[in-house]
Amino acid sequence: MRRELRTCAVLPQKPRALPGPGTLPTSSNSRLAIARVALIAPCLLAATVGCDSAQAPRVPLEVVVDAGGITAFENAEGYAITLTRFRVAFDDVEFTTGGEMHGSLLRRFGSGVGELLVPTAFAHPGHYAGGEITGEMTGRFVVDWLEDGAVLGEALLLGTTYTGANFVFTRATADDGVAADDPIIGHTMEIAGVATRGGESWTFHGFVDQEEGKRVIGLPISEEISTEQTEFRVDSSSDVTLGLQVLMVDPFEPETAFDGIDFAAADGDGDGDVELVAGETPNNLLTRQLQVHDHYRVSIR
Amino acid sequence: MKTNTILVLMTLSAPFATACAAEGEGTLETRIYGEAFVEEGIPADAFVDGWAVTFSSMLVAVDGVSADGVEDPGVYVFELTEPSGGEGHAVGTLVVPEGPQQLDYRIAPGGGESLGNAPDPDAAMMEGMGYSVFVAGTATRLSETISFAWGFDTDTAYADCEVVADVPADGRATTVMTIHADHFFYDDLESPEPNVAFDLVAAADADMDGTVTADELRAQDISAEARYQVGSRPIDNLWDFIAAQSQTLGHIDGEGHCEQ
Repeated sequence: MRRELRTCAVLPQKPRALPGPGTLPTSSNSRLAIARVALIAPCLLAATVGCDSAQAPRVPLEVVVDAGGITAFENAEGYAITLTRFRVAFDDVEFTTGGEMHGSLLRRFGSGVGELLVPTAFAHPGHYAGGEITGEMTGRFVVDWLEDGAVLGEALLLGTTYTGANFVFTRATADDGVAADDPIIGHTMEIAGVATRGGESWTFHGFVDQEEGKRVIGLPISEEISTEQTEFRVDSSSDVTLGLQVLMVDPFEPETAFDGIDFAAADGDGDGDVELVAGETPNNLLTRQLQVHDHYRVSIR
Repeated sequence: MKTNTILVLMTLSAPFATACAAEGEGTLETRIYGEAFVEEGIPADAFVDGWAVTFSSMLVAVDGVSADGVEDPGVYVFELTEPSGGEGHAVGTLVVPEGPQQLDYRIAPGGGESLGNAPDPDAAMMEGMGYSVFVAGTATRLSETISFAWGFDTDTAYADCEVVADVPADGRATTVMTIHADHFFYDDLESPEPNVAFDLVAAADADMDGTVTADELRAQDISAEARYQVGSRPIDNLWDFIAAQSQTLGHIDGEGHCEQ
Protein backbone atom coordinates (compact mmCIF):
# COMPACT_ATOMS: atom_id res chain seq x y z
CA MET A 1 0.00 0.00 0.00
CA ARG A 2 2.29 2.70 -1.19
CA ARG A 3 1.32 6.29 -1.46
CA GLU A 4 4.61 7.81 -2.43
CA LEU A 5 5.43 8.92 -5.92
CA ARG A 6 7.22 6.21 -7.78
CA THR A 7 10.23 6.75 -9.97
CA CYS A 8 10.16 3.80 -12.26
CA ALA A 9 9.66 4.90 -15.82
CA VAL A 10 10.38 2.18 -18.31
CA LEU A 11 12.70 2.92 -21.15
CA PRO A 12 11.71 0.63 -23.99
CA GLN A 13 14.81 1.51 -25.97
CA LYS A 14 17.29 0.97 -23.18
CA PRO A 15 20.37 -0.95 -24.19
CA ARG A 16 20.37 -4.47 -22.86
CA ALA A 17 23.78 -4.19 -21.32
CA LEU A 18 22.84 -1.35 -19.05
CA PRO A 19 21.00 -1.31 -15.74
CA GLY A 20 17.25 -1.44 -15.67
CA PRO A 21 14.99 1.56 -15.93
CA GLY A 22 14.96 2.17 -12.22
CA THR A 23 18.65 2.88 -12.41
CA LEU A 24 18.62 4.69 -15.70
CA PRO A 25 22.07 6.22 -15.86
CA THR A 26 22.54 9.77 -14.86
CA SER A 27 25.82 11.35 -15.65
CA SER A 28 27.42 9.84 -12.59
CA ASN A 29 26.02 6.35 -12.53
CA SER A 30 26.42 6.19 -16.28
CA ARG A 31 30.11 5.89 -15.67
CA LEU A 32 29.46 2.94 -13.43
CA ALA A 33 27.39 1.39 -16.16
CA ILE A 34 30.11 2.02 -18.69
CA ALA A 35 32.66 0.49 -16.39
CA ARG A 36 30.54 -2.61 -16.13
CA VAL A 37 30.09 -2.63 -19.86
CA ALA A 38 33.82 -2.34 -20.37
CA LEU A 39 34.26 -5.42 -18.27
CA ILE A 40 31.55 -7.48 -19.87
CA ALA A 41 31.82 -6.24 -23.41
CA PRO A 42 34.30 -8.90 -24.48
CA CYS A 43 31.96 -11.54 -23.10
CA LEU A 44 29.04 -10.01 -24.91
CA LEU A 45 31.02 -9.93 -28.10
CA ALA A 46 32.01 -13.51 -27.66
CA ALA A 47 28.40 -14.44 -27.19
CA THR A 48 27.42 -12.43 -30.20
CA VAL A 49 30.00 -13.57 -32.66
CA GLY A 50 30.71 -16.95 -31.18
CA CYS A 51 34.45 -16.59 -30.92
CA ASP A 52 37.06 -16.22 -28.26
CA SER A 53 36.82 -12.68 -27.05
CA ALA A 54 40.54 -12.63 -26.44
CA GLN A 55 40.99 -12.80 -30.19
CA ALA A 56 38.84 -9.76 -30.90
CA PRO A 57 41.15 -6.87 -31.65
CA ARG A 58 40.74 -3.69 -29.70
CA VAL A 59 40.90 -0.92 -32.22
CA PRO A 60 41.51 2.70 -31.20
CA LEU A 61 39.86 5.17 -33.55
CA GLU A 62 39.96 8.93 -33.36
CA VAL A 63 36.62 10.69 -32.99
CA VAL A 64 36.17 14.21 -34.30
CA VAL A 65 33.45 16.77 -34.75
CA ASP A 66 31.81 16.48 -38.15
CA ALA A 67 30.17 19.76 -39.13
CA GLY A 68 28.95 18.38 -42.42
CA GLY A 69 25.37 18.21 -41.19
CA ILE A 70 25.20 21.86 -40.24
CA THR A 71 24.40 23.50 -43.51
CA ALA A 72 22.08 26.35 -44.37
CA PHE A 73 18.57 24.96 -44.51
CA GLU A 74 14.94 26.02 -44.64
CA ASN A 75 12.50 25.06 -41.97
CA ALA A 76 8.84 24.16 -42.47
CA GLU A 77 7.82 27.77 -41.89
CA GLY A 78 9.95 28.92 -44.81
CA TYR A 79 12.82 30.52 -42.92
CA ALA A 80 16.28 30.14 -44.41
CA ILE A 81 18.40 29.35 -41.38
CA THR A 82 22.14 29.53 -40.89
CA LEU A 83 23.65 28.53 -37.57
CA THR A 84 26.47 30.63 -36.21
CA ARG A 85 26.85 28.72 -32.97
CA PHE A 86 25.87 25.26 -31.86
CA ARG A 87 27.55 23.97 -28.74
CA VAL A 88 26.45 20.80 -27.00
CA ALA A 89 27.42 19.15 -23.71
CA PHE A 90 27.36 15.36 -23.69
CA ASP A 91 29.25 12.42 -22.34
CA ASP A 92 29.97 8.75 -22.90
CA VAL A 93 29.66 7.87 -26.55
CA GLU A 94 28.93 4.17 -27.02
CA PHE A 95 29.21 2.10 -30.15
CA THR A 96 26.94 -0.89 -30.58
CA THR A 97 26.64 -4.03 -32.58
CA GLY A 98 23.45 -5.91 -33.33
CA GLY A 99 20.30 -4.56 -31.82
CA GLU A 100 16.97 -4.16 -33.44
CA MET A 101 16.05 -1.92 -36.27
CA HIS A 102 12.68 -0.29 -36.00
CA GLY A 103 11.14 -2.84 -38.31
CA SER A 104 11.84 -5.51 -35.74
CA LEU A 105 10.05 -3.53 -33.12
CA LEU A 106 7.05 -3.40 -35.41
CA ARG A 107 6.91 -7.15 -35.54
CA ARG A 108 7.42 -7.49 -31.83
CA PHE A 109 4.79 -5.06 -30.74
CA GLY A 110 2.19 -6.21 -33.22
CA SER A 111 -0.57 -4.02 -34.46
CA GLY A 112 -0.99 -1.71 -31.52
CA VAL A 113 1.34 1.04 -30.49
CA GLY A 114 4.08 -0.80 -32.32
CA GLU A 115 2.83 0.69 -35.55
CA LEU A 116 2.72 3.99 -33.85
CA LEU A 117 6.32 3.68 -32.81
CA VAL A 118 7.67 2.75 -36.19
CA PRO A 119 5.83 4.44 -39.01
CA THR A 120 9.11 5.68 -40.41
CA ALA A 121 10.95 2.41 -40.07
CA PHE A 122 11.84 2.19 -43.70
CA ALA A 123 12.26 5.90 -44.23
CA HIS A 124 14.94 5.95 -41.55
CA PRO A 125 17.40 3.16 -42.14
CA GLY A 126 20.13 2.45 -39.69
CA HIS A 127 18.54 3.24 -36.38
CA TYR A 128 19.36 0.12 -34.43
CA ALA A 129 18.36 0.19 -30.78
CA GLY A 130 19.32 -2.10 -27.98
CA GLY A 131 22.50 -3.54 -29.43
CA GLU A 132 25.42 -4.74 -27.40
CA ILE A 133 27.96 -2.07 -26.47
CA THR A 134 31.33 -3.12 -27.85
CA GLY A 135 33.00 0.24 -28.19
CA GLU A 136 33.14 3.44 -26.21
CA MET A 137 34.64 6.85 -25.81
CA THR A 138 34.18 7.87 -22.23
CA GLY A 139 34.45 11.35 -20.86
CA ARG A 140 32.62 14.64 -20.87
CA PHE A 141 32.52 16.87 -23.89
CA VAL A 142 31.40 20.39 -24.65
CA VAL A 143 31.47 20.45 -28.42
CA ASP A 144 31.34 23.35 -30.82
CA TRP A 145 29.62 21.55 -33.65
CA LEU A 146 30.68 24.12 -36.21
CA GLU A 147 34.34 23.34 -35.57
CA ASP A 148 34.74 20.64 -38.17
CA GLY A 149 37.55 18.22 -37.45
CA ALA A 150 38.03 19.18 -33.82
CA VAL A 151 39.32 16.13 -32.02
CA LEU A 152 37.05 14.79 -29.30
CA GLY A 153 39.14 11.86 -28.27
CA GLU A 154 39.84 8.27 -29.00
CA ALA A 155 37.25 5.54 -28.98
CA LEU A 156 38.20 1.98 -28.22
CA LEU A 157 36.24 -0.51 -30.27
CA LEU A 158 36.32 -4.27 -30.39
CA GLY A 159 36.66 -5.64 -33.88
CA THR A 160 33.18 -6.38 -35.12
CA THR A 161 30.46 -4.92 -37.31
CA TYR A 162 28.92 -1.80 -35.83
CA THR A 163 25.31 -0.86 -36.40
CA GLY A 164 24.83 2.12 -34.12
CA ALA A 165 25.97 4.54 -31.49
CA ASN A 166 24.54 6.22 -28.42
CA PHE A 167 25.44 9.26 -26.40
CA VAL A 168 24.23 10.92 -23.26
CA PHE A 169 23.21 14.53 -22.83
CA THR A 170 24.55 16.36 -19.83
CA ARG A 171 24.87 19.93 -18.57
CA ALA A 172 28.12 21.80 -19.02
CA THR A 173 30.16 22.49 -15.90
CA ALA A 174 33.19 24.60 -15.16
CA ASP A 175 35.23 21.40 -15.13
CA ASP A 176 34.51 20.75 -18.78
CA GLY A 177 37.25 22.96 -20.13
CA VAL A 178 35.12 26.02 -20.62
CA ALA A 179 35.71 29.41 -19.04
CA ALA A 180 34.34 29.84 -15.56
CA ASP A 181 31.99 32.52 -16.82
CA ASP A 182 30.97 30.71 -20.01
CA PRO A 183 27.21 31.06 -20.23
CA ILE A 184 26.79 27.46 -21.38
CA ILE A 185 27.57 26.28 -17.87
CA GLY A 186 24.43 24.66 -16.51
CA HIS A 187 23.00 24.11 -19.96
CA THR A 188 23.06 21.33 -22.53
CA MET A 189 23.11 23.37 -25.73
CA GLU A 190 23.80 26.88 -26.85
CA ILE A 191 22.45 27.68 -30.27
CA ALA A 192 22.52 30.85 -32.33
CA GLY A 193 22.09 31.89 -35.92
CA VAL A 194 20.26 33.93 -38.48
CA ALA A 195 16.83 33.25 -39.97
CA THR A 196 15.67 35.00 -43.11
CA ARG A 197 12.30 35.08 -44.82
CA GLY A 198 10.79 37.49 -47.32
CA GLY A 199 13.75 39.82 -47.17
CA GLU A 200 13.64 40.14 -43.39
CA SER A 201 16.21 38.66 -41.06
CA TRP A 202 16.19 37.70 -37.43
CA THR A 203 19.14 36.77 -35.30
CA PHE A 204 18.36 34.20 -32.66
CA HIS A 205 20.05 32.74 -29.64
CA GLY A 206 19.08 30.40 -26.87
CA PHE A 207 20.07 27.73 -24.42
CA VAL A 208 18.39 24.37 -24.81
CA ASP A 209 18.40 22.01 -21.87
CA GLN A 210 17.94 18.28 -22.09
CA GLU A 211 17.34 16.24 -18.98
CA GLU A 212 20.63 15.27 -17.39
CA GLY A 213 21.40 11.72 -18.47
CA LYS A 214 18.96 11.58 -21.37
CA ARG A 215 20.30 9.08 -23.85
CA VAL A 216 20.14 9.41 -27.59
CA ILE A 217 20.08 5.83 -28.76
CA GLY A 218 20.52 4.38 -32.21
CA LEU A 219 22.63 6.83 -34.19
CA PRO A 220 23.37 5.31 -37.58
CA ILE A 221 27.02 4.58 -38.26
CA SER A 222 28.04 4.36 -41.89
CA GLU A 223 30.29 5.82 -44.53
CA GLU A 224 27.40 7.42 -46.37
CA ILE A 225 23.85 8.37 -45.61
CA SER A 226 21.95 5.80 -47.58
CA THR A 227 19.12 3.37 -47.38
CA GLU A 228 21.45 0.53 -48.21
CA GLN A 229 24.42 1.04 -45.92
CA THR A 230 23.54 0.74 -42.26
CA GLU A 231 26.64 -0.74 -40.67
CA PHE A 232 30.37 -0.39 -40.48
CA ARG A 233 33.00 -3.04 -40.01
CA VAL A 234 35.89 -2.41 -37.64
CA ASP A 235 38.91 -4.68 -37.61
CA SER A 236 42.59 -4.45 -36.81
CA SER A 237 43.31 -2.89 -40.18
CA SER A 238 40.79 -0.09 -39.74
CA ASP A 239 42.44 3.27 -40.26
CA VAL A 240 39.60 5.75 -40.25
CA THR A 241 38.34 8.63 -38.19
CA LEU A 242 34.84 8.62 -36.78
CA GLY A 243 32.89 11.84 -37.12
CA LEU A 244 30.12 12.78 -34.74
CA GLN A 245 27.60 14.60 -36.84
CA VAL A 246 24.44 16.53 -36.13
CA LEU A 247 21.96 16.83 -38.98
CA MET A 248 19.82 19.92 -39.08
CA VAL A 249 17.82 18.37 -41.89
CA ASP A 250 16.45 14.86 -41.61
CA PRO A 251 18.13 13.05 -44.53
CA PHE A 252 15.13 10.88 -45.25
CA GLU A 253 12.13 13.07 -44.53
CA PRO A 254 11.41 16.73 -45.19
CA GLU A 255 11.86 17.71 -41.55
CA THR A 256 14.34 19.98 -39.83
CA ALA A 257 15.35 20.52 -36.23
CA PHE A 258 13.77 24.00 -36.42
CA ASP A 259 10.36 23.04 -37.76
CA GLY A 260 7.53 24.84 -36.05
CA ILE A 261 9.58 27.89 -35.14
CA ASP A 262 8.17 31.14 -36.50
CA PHE A 263 10.81 33.76 -35.84
CA ALA A 264 8.60 36.69 -36.76
CA ALA A 265 5.99 35.54 -34.27
CA ALA A 266 8.65 34.98 -31.64
CA ASP A 267 10.04 38.49 -32.08
CA GLY A 268 7.62 40.16 -29.75
CA ASP A 269 9.33 43.57 -29.69
CA GLY A 270 10.10 43.54 -33.40
CA ASP A 271 13.77 44.33 -32.94
CA GLY A 272 14.94 41.48 -35.11
CA ASP A 273 16.58 39.63 -32.21
CA VAL A 274 14.90 36.53 -30.87
CA GLU A 275 15.93 34.93 -27.61
CA LEU A 276 14.75 31.34 -27.45
CA VAL A 277 13.64 31.35 -23.85
CA ALA A 278 13.31 28.12 -21.87
CA GLY A 279 9.71 27.10 -21.40
CA GLU A 280 8.46 28.96 -24.44
CA THR A 281 7.25 27.20 -27.56
CA PRO A 282 10.30 27.73 -29.83
CA ASN A 283 12.64 26.47 -27.13
CA ASN A 284 10.36 23.54 -26.33
CA LEU A 285 10.28 22.56 -30.00
CA LEU A 286 14.06 22.64 -30.23
CA THR A 287 14.41 20.65 -27.03
CA ARG A 288 12.18 17.93 -28.40
CA GLN A 289 13.53 17.86 -31.93
CA LEU A 290 17.18 17.88 -30.92
CA GLN A 291 16.77 14.76 -28.81
CA VAL A 292 15.62 12.68 -31.77
CA HIS A 293 18.21 10.28 -33.13
CA ASP A 294 17.22 11.16 -36.69
CA HIS A 295 19.29 14.32 -36.26
CA TYR A 296 22.56 12.59 -35.41
CA ARG A 297 24.86 10.07 -37.02
CA VAL A 298 28.40 8.78 -36.94
CA SER A 299 30.28 9.37 -40.17
CA ILE A 300 33.38 7.60 -41.38
CA ARG A 301 36.11 9.97 -42.51
CA MET B 1 36.52 -57.97 -17.67
CA LYS B 2 34.82 -55.39 -19.81
CA THR B 3 31.49 -56.18 -18.16
CA ASN B 4 33.02 -55.73 -14.71
CA THR B 5 34.43 -52.37 -15.68
CA ILE B 6 31.06 -51.20 -16.87
CA LEU B 7 29.43 -52.40 -13.66
CA VAL B 8 32.00 -50.56 -11.57
CA LEU B 9 31.49 -47.38 -13.54
CA MET B 10 27.74 -47.67 -13.23
CA THR B 11 28.03 -48.19 -9.51
CA LEU B 12 30.32 -45.21 -9.07
CA SER B 13 28.20 -42.95 -11.21
CA ALA B 14 24.89 -43.93 -9.68
CA PRO B 15 24.94 -41.33 -6.89
CA PHE B 16 25.59 -38.57 -9.41
CA ALA B 17 22.86 -39.76 -11.71
CA THR B 18 20.50 -39.89 -8.76
CA ALA B 19 21.49 -36.41 -7.70
CA CYS B 20 20.69 -35.02 -11.14
CA ALA B 21 17.38 -36.82 -11.36
CA ALA B 22 16.40 -35.71 -7.89
CA GLU B 23 16.34 -31.96 -8.67
CA GLY B 24 13.35 -30.67 -6.79
CA GLU B 25 10.29 -29.00 -8.12
CA GLY B 26 7.92 -26.62 -6.51
CA THR B 27 4.87 -24.55 -7.30
CA LEU B 28 4.94 -20.92 -8.31
CA GLU B 29 1.62 -19.28 -7.62
CA THR B 30 0.99 -16.27 -9.85
CA ARG B 31 -1.19 -13.34 -8.88
CA ILE B 32 -1.98 -9.96 -10.40
CA TYR B 33 -2.44 -6.74 -8.49
CA GLY B 34 -3.15 -3.13 -9.30
CA GLU B 35 -2.12 -2.01 -5.84
CA ALA B 36 -3.88 0.63 -3.80
CA PHE B 37 -3.56 3.06 -6.67
CA VAL B 38 -6.08 1.03 -8.66
CA GLU B 39 -8.23 -0.35 -5.86
CA GLU B 40 -8.48 2.88 -3.86
CA GLY B 41 -7.26 5.58 -6.21
CA ILE B 42 -4.23 7.76 -6.79
CA PRO B 43 -4.24 10.50 -4.18
CA ALA B 44 -3.60 14.16 -4.85
CA ASP B 45 -0.22 14.06 -3.18
CA ALA B 46 1.02 11.74 -5.92
CA PHE B 47 0.19 14.32 -8.58
CA VAL B 48 2.25 17.45 -9.13
CA ASP B 49 -0.81 19.47 -10.08
CA GLY B 50 -3.24 18.64 -7.32
CA TRP B 51 -5.50 16.21 -9.14
CA ALA B 52 -6.59 12.91 -7.64
CA VAL B 53 -7.84 9.93 -9.64
CA THR B 54 -10.15 7.08 -8.77
CA PHE B 55 -10.76 4.19 -11.10
CA SER B 56 -14.19 2.72 -11.72
CA SER B 57 -12.69 0.03 -13.92
CA MET B 58 -9.30 -1.20 -14.94
CA LEU B 59 -9.37 -4.31 -17.07
CA VAL B 60 -6.24 -6.06 -18.27
CA ALA B 61 -6.01 -9.03 -20.63
CA VAL B 62 -3.16 -11.31 -19.67
CA ASP B 63 -1.75 -14.42 -21.29
CA GLY B 64 1.54 -16.18 -21.84
CA VAL B 65 2.30 -16.44 -18.14
CA SER B 66 5.35 -18.67 -17.94
CA ALA B 67 8.47 -19.43 -15.99
CA ASP B 68 11.37 -21.67 -16.84
CA GLY B 69 9.66 -22.80 -20.01
CA VAL B 70 6.50 -23.86 -18.20
CA GLU B 71 3.55 -21.91 -19.56
CA ASP B 72 0.13 -21.35 -18.14
CA PRO B 73 -2.15 -21.78 -21.17
CA GLY B 74 -4.80 -19.54 -19.67
CA VAL B 75 -6.04 -16.34 -21.23
CA TYR B 76 -7.25 -14.02 -18.51
CA VAL B 77 -9.14 -10.79 -18.14
CA PHE B 78 -8.90 -9.19 -14.70
CA GLU B 79 -10.83 -6.33 -13.18
CA LEU B 80 -8.15 -4.84 -10.99
CA THR B 81 -10.39 -2.39 -9.16
CA GLU B 82 -11.97 -5.30 -7.28
CA PRO B 83 -10.68 -5.19 -3.70
CA SER B 84 -8.14 -7.89 -3.03
CA GLY B 85 -7.14 -7.13 0.54
CA GLY B 86 -3.65 -6.26 -0.62
CA GLU B 87 -3.07 -9.75 -1.98
CA GLY B 88 -3.94 -9.27 -5.62
CA HIS B 89 -5.99 -11.75 -7.60
CA ALA B 90 -5.03 -15.38 -8.17
CA VAL B 91 -4.01 -16.12 -11.73
CA GLY B 92 -2.66 -19.69 -11.81
CA THR B 93 0.12 -22.00 -10.77
CA LEU B 94 3.24 -23.24 -12.48
CA VAL B 95 5.21 -26.31 -11.46
CA VAL B 96 8.81 -25.27 -11.92
CA PRO B 97 12.27 -26.39 -10.82
CA GLU B 98 13.21 -25.22 -7.36
CA GLY B 99 15.21 -22.02 -7.07
CA PRO B 100 15.02 -18.49 -8.45
CA GLN B 101 12.55 -17.79 -11.21
CA GLN B 102 12.00 -15.32 -14.00
CA LEU B 103 8.43 -14.79 -15.03
CA ASP B 104 7.24 -13.83 -18.48
CA TYR B 105 3.78 -12.53 -19.24
CA ARG B 106 1.98 -10.63 -21.91
CA ILE B 107 -0.67 -7.96 -21.79
CA ALA B 108 -2.33 -8.16 -25.16
CA PRO B 109 -5.74 -8.31 -26.74
CA GLY B 110 -7.15 -11.65 -25.67
CA GLY B 111 -9.46 -14.02 -27.41
CA GLY B 112 -11.75 -16.95 -26.81
CA GLU B 113 -12.93 -18.02 -23.41
CA SER B 114 -11.22 -15.86 -20.85
CA LEU B 115 -10.45 -16.73 -17.26
CA GLY B 116 -9.95 -14.18 -14.52
CA ASN B 117 -12.26 -12.22 -12.29
CA ALA B 118 -13.72 -9.85 -14.87
CA PRO B 119 -17.47 -10.12 -15.36
CA ASP B 120 -18.36 -11.90 -18.59
CA PRO B 121 -19.71 -8.79 -20.31
CA ASP B 122 -16.49 -6.95 -19.57
CA ALA B 123 -14.36 -9.82 -20.82
CA ALA B 124 -16.50 -9.97 -23.94
CA MET B 125 -16.10 -6.24 -24.41
CA MET B 126 -12.30 -6.57 -24.16
CA GLU B 127 -12.31 -9.32 -26.75
CA GLY B 128 -14.80 -7.61 -29.00
CA MET B 129 -13.01 -4.28 -28.96
CA GLY B 130 -9.58 -5.86 -29.23
CA TYR B 131 -8.40 -4.21 -26.05
CA SER B 132 -5.49 -5.28 -23.89
CA VAL B 133 -6.11 -2.58 -21.30
CA PHE B 134 -9.23 -0.63 -20.49
CA VAL B 135 -9.26 2.06 -17.86
CA ALA B 136 -12.10 4.27 -16.70
CA GLY B 137 -12.30 6.68 -13.85
CA THR B 138 -12.61 10.21 -12.59
CA ALA B 139 -10.07 12.87 -11.83
CA THR B 140 -10.95 15.55 -9.33
CA ARG B 141 -9.37 18.77 -8.12
CA LEU B 142 -11.42 21.00 -5.86
CA SER B 143 -14.61 21.62 -7.85
CA GLU B 144 -13.24 20.26 -11.14
CA THR B 145 -14.16 16.78 -12.29
CA ILE B 146 -12.96 15.05 -15.43
CA SER B 147 -14.05 11.56 -16.45
CA PHE B 148 -12.27 9.23 -18.81
CA ALA B 149 -12.78 5.77 -20.34
CA TRP B 150 -9.96 4.64 -22.59
CA GLY B 151 -9.26 1.31 -24.27
CA PHE B 152 -5.84 0.35 -25.63
CA ASP B 153 -5.01 -2.33 -28.17
CA THR B 154 -1.33 -2.45 -27.27
CA ASP B 155 0.49 -5.76 -27.24
CA THR B 156 3.29 -5.87 -24.70
CA ALA B 157 5.46 -8.78 -23.66
CA TYR B 158 7.00 -8.45 -20.22
CA ALA B 159 9.98 -10.79 -20.06
CA ASP B 160 12.56 -11.96 -17.56
CA CYS B 161 10.74 -10.44 -14.61
CA GLU B 162 12.85 -11.31 -11.57
CA VAL B 163 10.65 -13.11 -9.06
CA VAL B 164 11.57 -12.10 -5.53
CA ALA B 165 10.92 -15.43 -3.82
CA ASP B 166 12.77 -18.61 -4.71
CA VAL B 167 10.58 -21.64 -5.26
CA PRO B 168 11.37 -24.29 -2.64
CA ALA B 169 11.47 -27.98 -3.50
CA ASP B 170 8.07 -29.48 -2.80
CA GLY B 171 6.88 -26.10 -1.63
CA ARG B 172 5.18 -22.97 -2.91
CA ALA B 173 6.19 -19.44 -3.65
CA THR B 174 4.07 -16.55 -4.84
CA THR B 175 4.80 -13.88 -7.38
CA VAL B 176 2.65 -10.91 -8.24
CA MET B 177 2.33 -9.28 -11.64
CA THR B 178 2.06 -5.72 -10.45
CA ILE B 179 0.28 -3.16 -12.59
CA HIS B 180 1.30 0.47 -12.05
CA ALA B 181 -1.68 2.60 -12.99
CA ASP B 182 0.06 5.88 -12.23
CA HIS B 183 2.11 5.38 -15.40
CA PHE B 184 -0.93 6.45 -17.39
CA PHE B 185 -0.31 9.94 -16.04
CA TYR B 186 3.47 10.09 -16.28
CA ASP B 187 4.62 13.20 -18.11
CA ASP B 188 7.75 11.79 -19.73
CA LEU B 189 8.40 8.63 -21.70
CA GLU B 190 12.09 8.47 -20.89
CA SER B 191 12.80 10.24 -17.67
CA PRO B 192 13.64 8.03 -14.69
CA GLU B 193 11.80 10.52 -12.54
CA PRO B 194 8.69 11.65 -14.38
CA ASN B 195 5.93 13.60 -12.73
CA VAL B 196 2.44 12.23 -12.30
CA ALA B 197 0.29 14.93 -13.83
CA PHE B 198 -3.22 15.45 -15.12
CA ASP B 199 -3.41 19.12 -16.17
CA LEU B 200 -2.70 18.45 -19.83
CA VAL B 201 -5.23 15.61 -19.93
CA ALA B 202 -7.82 17.90 -18.41
CA ALA B 203 -6.93 20.60 -20.91
CA ALA B 204 -7.69 18.19 -23.73
CA ASP B 205 -11.40 18.34 -22.89
CA ALA B 206 -12.08 20.54 -25.89
CA ASP B 207 -15.87 20.42 -25.70
CA MET B 208 -15.72 21.00 -21.94
CA ASP B 209 -18.27 18.29 -21.27
CA GLY B 210 -16.29 16.89 -18.36
CA THR B 211 -15.15 13.81 -20.25
CA VAL B 212 -11.83 13.46 -22.05
CA THR B 213 -12.11 11.10 -24.97
CA ALA B 214 -9.48 9.35 -27.05
CA ASP B 215 -10.22 11.70 -29.94
CA GLU B 216 -9.73 14.72 -27.73
CA LEU B 217 -6.41 13.33 -26.58
CA ARG B 218 -5.39 12.74 -30.19
CA ALA B 219 -6.15 16.37 -30.90
CA GLN B 220 -3.92 17.50 -28.03
CA ASP B 221 -0.59 18.31 -29.68
CA ILE B 222 2.31 17.74 -27.31
CA SER B 223 5.11 18.73 -29.67
CA ALA B 224 5.59 22.14 -28.08
CA GLU B 225 5.19 20.98 -24.49
CA ALA B 226 8.14 21.41 -22.17
CA ARG B 227 7.22 18.15 -20.50
CA TYR B 228 5.84 15.06 -22.27
CA GLN B 229 9.20 14.32 -23.87
CA VAL B 230 9.29 11.28 -26.12
CA GLY B 231 12.94 10.85 -27.13
CA SER B 232 13.17 9.52 -30.66
CA ARG B 233 9.64 8.18 -30.83
CA PRO B 234 7.43 9.79 -33.46
CA ILE B 235 4.75 10.71 -30.97
CA ASP B 236 3.17 14.14 -31.17
CA ASN B 237 -0.23 13.81 -29.49
CA LEU B 238 -1.41 12.95 -26.02
CA TRP B 239 -3.32 9.81 -26.97
CA ASP B 240 -0.29 8.18 -28.54
CA PHE B 241 1.76 9.29 -25.54
CA ILE B 242 -0.62 7.65 -23.06
CA ALA B 243 -0.87 4.56 -25.25
CA ALA B 244 2.91 4.30 -25.11
CA GLN B 245 2.77 4.68 -21.33
CA SER B 246 0.22 1.85 -21.24
CA GLN B 247 3.05 -0.41 -22.37
CA THR B 248 5.00 0.35 -19.22
CA LEU B 249 2.39 -0.73 -16.67
CA GLY B 250 3.66 -4.24 -15.99
CA HIS B 251 6.09 -4.97 -13.18
CA ILE B 252 6.81 -7.86 -10.86
CA ASP B 253 6.45 -8.19 -7.10
CA GLY B 254 5.84 -4.51 -6.57
CA GLU B 255 8.64 -2.45 -8.01
CA GLY B 256 10.50 -5.16 -9.94
CA HIS B 257 11.13 -4.49 -13.60
CA CYS B 258 10.86 -6.68 -16.62
CA GLU B 259 12.48 -6.58 -20.04
CA GLN B 260 10.32 -5.70 -22.99
